[in-house]
Amino acid sequence: MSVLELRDVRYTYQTQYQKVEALKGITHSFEEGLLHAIVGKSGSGKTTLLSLMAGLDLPTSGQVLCEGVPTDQMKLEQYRREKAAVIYQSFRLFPLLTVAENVMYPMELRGMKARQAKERAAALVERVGLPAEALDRYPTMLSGGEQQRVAIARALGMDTKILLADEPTGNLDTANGENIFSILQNLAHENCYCVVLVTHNPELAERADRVLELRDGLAVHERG
Amino acid sequence: MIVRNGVRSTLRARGRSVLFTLLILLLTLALTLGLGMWSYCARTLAAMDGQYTSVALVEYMGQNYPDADTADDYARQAAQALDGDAIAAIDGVELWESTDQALAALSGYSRVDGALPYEDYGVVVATSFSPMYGSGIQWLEGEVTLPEACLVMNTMSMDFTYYAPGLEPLVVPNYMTVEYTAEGSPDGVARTALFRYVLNEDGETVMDEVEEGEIIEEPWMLSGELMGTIPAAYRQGEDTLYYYDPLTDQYGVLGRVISGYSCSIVDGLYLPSDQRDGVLAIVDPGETDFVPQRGTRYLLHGVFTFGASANTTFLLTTFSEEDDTPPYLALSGTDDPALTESIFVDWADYYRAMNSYVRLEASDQISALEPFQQQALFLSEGRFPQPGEAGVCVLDGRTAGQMGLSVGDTLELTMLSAGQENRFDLTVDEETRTLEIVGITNDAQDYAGCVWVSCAEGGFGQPRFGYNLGRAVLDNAKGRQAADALQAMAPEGVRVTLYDQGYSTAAQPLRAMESTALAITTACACGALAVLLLFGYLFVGRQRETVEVLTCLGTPRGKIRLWLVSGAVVIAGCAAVLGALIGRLSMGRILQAALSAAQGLYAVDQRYSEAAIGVAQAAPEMGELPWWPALAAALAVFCTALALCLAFLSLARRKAVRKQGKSTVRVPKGGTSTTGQGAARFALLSVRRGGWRSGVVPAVALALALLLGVMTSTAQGWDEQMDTLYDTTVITGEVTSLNGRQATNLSVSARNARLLWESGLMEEIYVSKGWPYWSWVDMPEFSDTSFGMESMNAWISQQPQLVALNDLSAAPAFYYGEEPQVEWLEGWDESFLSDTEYYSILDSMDFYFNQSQLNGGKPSLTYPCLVSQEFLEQMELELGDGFNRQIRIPVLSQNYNEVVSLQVVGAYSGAGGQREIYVPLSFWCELDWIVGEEALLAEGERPNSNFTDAAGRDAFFYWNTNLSTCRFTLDSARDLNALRDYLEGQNFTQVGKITSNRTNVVLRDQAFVETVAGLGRYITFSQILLPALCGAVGLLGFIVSWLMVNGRRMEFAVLRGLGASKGRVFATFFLEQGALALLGCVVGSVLLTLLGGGWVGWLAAAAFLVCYLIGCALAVAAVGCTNLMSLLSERE
Repeated sequence: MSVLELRDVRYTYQTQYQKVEALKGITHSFEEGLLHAIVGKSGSGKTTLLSLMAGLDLPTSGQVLCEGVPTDQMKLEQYRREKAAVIYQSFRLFPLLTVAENVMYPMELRGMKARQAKERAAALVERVGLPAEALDRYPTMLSGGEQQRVAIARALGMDTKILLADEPTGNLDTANGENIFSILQNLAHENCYCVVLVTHNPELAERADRVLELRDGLAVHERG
Repeated sequence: MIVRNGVRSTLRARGRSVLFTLLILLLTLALTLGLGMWSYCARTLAAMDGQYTSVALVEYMGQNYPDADTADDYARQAAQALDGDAIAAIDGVELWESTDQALAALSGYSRVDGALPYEDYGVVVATSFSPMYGSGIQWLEGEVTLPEACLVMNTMSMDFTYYAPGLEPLVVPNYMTVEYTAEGSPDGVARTALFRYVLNEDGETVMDEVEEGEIIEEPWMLSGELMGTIPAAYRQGEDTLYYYDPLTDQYGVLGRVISGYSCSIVDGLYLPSDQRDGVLAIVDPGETDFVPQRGTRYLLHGVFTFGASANTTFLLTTFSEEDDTPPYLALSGTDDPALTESIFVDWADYYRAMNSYVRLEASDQISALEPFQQQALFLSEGRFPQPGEAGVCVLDGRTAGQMGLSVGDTLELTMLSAGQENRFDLTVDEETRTLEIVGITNDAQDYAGCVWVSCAEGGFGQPRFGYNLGRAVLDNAKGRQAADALQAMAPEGVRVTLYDQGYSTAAQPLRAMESTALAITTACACGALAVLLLFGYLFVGRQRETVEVLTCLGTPRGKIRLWLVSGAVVIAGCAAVLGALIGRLSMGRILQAALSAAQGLYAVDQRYSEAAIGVAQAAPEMGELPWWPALAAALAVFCTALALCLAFLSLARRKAVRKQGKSTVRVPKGGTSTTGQGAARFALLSVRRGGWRSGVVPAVALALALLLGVMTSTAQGWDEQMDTLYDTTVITGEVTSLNGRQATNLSVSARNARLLWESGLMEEIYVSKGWPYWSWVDMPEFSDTSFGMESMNAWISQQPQLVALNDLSAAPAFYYGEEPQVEWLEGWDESFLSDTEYYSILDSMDFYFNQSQLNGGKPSLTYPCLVSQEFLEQMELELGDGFNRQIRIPVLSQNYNEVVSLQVVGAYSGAGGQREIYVPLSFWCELDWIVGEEALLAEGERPNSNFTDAAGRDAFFYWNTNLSTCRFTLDSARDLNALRDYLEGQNFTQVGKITSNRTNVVLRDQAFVETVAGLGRYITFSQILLPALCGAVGLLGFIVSWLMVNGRRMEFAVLRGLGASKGRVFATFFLEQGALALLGCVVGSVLLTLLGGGWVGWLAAAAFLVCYLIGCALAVAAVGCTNLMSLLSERE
């Protein structure tokens, strides 16, 4: 079932020197229980597309629909809070919050009590394969792979159906990258998340259920 | 190629290049202006130092101040008490000179201006004598037998003695009454005492109190009025009146006496300038036995007087007190040898010599002598004698013109020696001097007959006359401090007046500008250094990538340097040159504006102020401005830029090496926190775990709150000081002579004193009025001639004064000294001076007015008085003793000599003149004349000269009373400007600005005004600075917040990315920053309180907090406006 749908999505922005047409009309749909991959060369529009899907901005034209509702008809903050969770290549964790507090933050944003959030955070951290001792540590004390697991745990804590991951293994070694990919794959297949993965890595893309290839802001190839 | 590419690549970094070009340009501009302003101020101040002369005039405020020819022992004592070495050692005193003056006879000069000794004396040849008759007492020679019935009047006591055949002589004594109060009475009983004039054992006339038993019943007279009836038996001799002089034991009768001789003055061996020979005159033999023979020609010595007759009167007088040679000599003819060689010729020569005197004054800085310093005199030709240069002089222009002298001519002077007590009691010395004229002044009547020489020609050793004790030439910049120091060491009664030709007024703004310019220059230099450091770092030091590329391409090291430096040099050079050029071209206008602003800031109201009693020179004009500040600024900036760029070259060539070593990571205490909720929770966690970041904000807040608090507290301190100054300062003022110097014997009308009081701004007004007093015993004998009367009047005017006043501070003798130490009679104090218990002497005076005699109707009072200890000792009196003195009270054209009965209730010591007698003001008038609710005369009303009652009389005297001094104390220093306005509105005269009301008022406000102006400037600065500082602190708060928030843009973005609302994110950051700033502010305020700051410190801290929070809110809001996608896509 399609959870997220792109309809002729275009996006243009202005840099210091020029006007950039990043997306030139993408139409595509993303379904639950599948691991989607978006691939393409640098500057093809992958991250821009993911940001629009994450509700960080609205398309210049076209629509992003979540469960059939266009994002421009929603409050983006609420959309980000309740519909789409993002995992960044560089983790984007709060450096002065512990692992538990980082994971708890989106729960608390949604009104959950701190103690309850803490218990859930512990469960999520365990679920992504981190030891319990990691809970009270600062993210900077963890390895890259561990930090990315924390980022996944934080995303899971948001209780959304959509998980958007921007190059989640880009900063990791092969082993850690493999682990993270497995977690995301499991989340899609076993927990019925709609996981969208932006990656350069052709091997990972090959292992995705569906692949969308972008070139110069256009969808040039779709697989699956 | 290398240079071209280097410049291109630098210039193409447009934002950075433009920013630094502007910064360097602005700093060079500011540096040029700062240097230019500093150089202009320093140059102008140096020029002013040569142009202005500051002197401190040291004068003794004696009884006859400012008479330059008075012999005042107190002034001489004060001059001796001045320690010349100590004065010369005062910081700021460049030269100390005590007054060194002498008189000398100038050959060929005949004085027509200034004081002329022997002005009316003459040595004349007269002929054609003819006697003139009049009525008078013919004193009978030899043994006189009185008729059996006659009446004899004692010319001394004014007693009458009636003689009748077969009866004892009937003496009708003439008494005078003196009213004693209980306090004033010698026996402590209030009573009316009777006195008579009698001869004592020494043959002196004294007042003798009549004992109770001696008082005969009747008849007797009271001040000439018959009391009782003369028995008829005695009255038969009333028509035969004899006069008896007890001093010569001679009788006389009224008869026809020769009053003088008319004659023709045919020649004059010495004649005053206004007399001619060949005129008719009346010769009064005076005290001589001159009886001319008809047809004989006489040589006569005497004085020309101006009596009732229209003719010239020549009174024969002896040559001197010691010489009893008859002042007349019969001549044998026109070739009588006495006309060429005799005592007459000698005295004629002497008088001629005396009237050709010039005043010599010695100084090594003649330009600093008062008339030159005050620009009454200036050199119109030649130069001043140099210090140590003898045999040369400067001559006044009038004398030079009169004698046809010019520079290069010589003066032949014969030195004259003055007597101790009279400057013009001159003797001709044998010493002569020949002086070459090297300079001639302008023509000024007041300085006619004056010669100035250097000290090498001085050292005259003459007795000191007048009140000018000396002068100190001061360093202009230290004038006020030096004058104050000099005043502090001056003896009692000596006043030091600073005349700086307006230097301080003109120099203050320049000094302020100079220090401001110095501050600007220093700040700009520091700013330029910081900017150039950054410039060098950014444009050279941080160009590693460029260096790597160039190196890879095999560029030689020198060319790499050239590449890096060329662009920076072009930017720095262009900006520096442009900034210097703009600075130089705009400097004139900016300097003018700054000078106007500084003058406005330093302008003080000097209306009626003692600060404005001297002449003020115009400040020097702004001349051509130099180019060197612009060149220096441009060169300094360019060279520094170049040096720093070269210094950063090595940094640019250094390869980046990662830091070795293990980084340590902190673990939060207590693990994961569950404290708080919402935005506050995140803020709290950030505060707790922020490390150095959480320390920066409180530290900055603490420092800035402390700074603001200290500034505010200081400003508040200035305000409080100003309030205290206004509350505690007592401003006084006084009426002075037109030149602003306190003078005794002023003529301040009672109406003007009242006008001053009617300003409603005064707390007290003190006035005095004085009359010369004397004792019959002390008065020399004067002839009954008009000359005798003139001489007596002159003698009386030289006598010390009996002064009626309402406070001792109204006595000029105490103006410039400490309050005198007074020993009081028990039960008495100074308040008696303002006591209204005593009635005016007018109430007990008889005087003729409009042809009718008016009688005060009240008995004479004994007035309490304050005298000096010295006076008491001389008079052999004690506290409580009574004594009498005569005073002269002029009423219109008549003079009335009144006997005043006095009782000593206090004796002062250690201050001022020692011979004055002080009595209550009510001796003359009630203080209500001046401070009463109702004026004695309504506005526009004129007194009725035909008054019939006391009220009418008072109104008349109120209109005609002139006070000798008038001082006042302002109710509040805050009223100073209101008083200036009032004085101006009432047209009171001020120094240098004579208006319709000739009463010259001077306010003693200089120290106060200077302090207030200084504080006012601080307050003005603080009023400008504090808001600016608040703004700057707000800006700093914004910058700090911006930096803190901006450094956490990613956190911000992640929060927003996770779906936190804008409000929540804002609250999170705002709360965190607010808490940290609050912490700093509270600590700062507590510290300030501990340091003694008041509530203002807290207020300032609160103001800072508000500023900081506003800045913080703006910064967070600004970050919030950034596109979220851009934020998240930024590199870490």
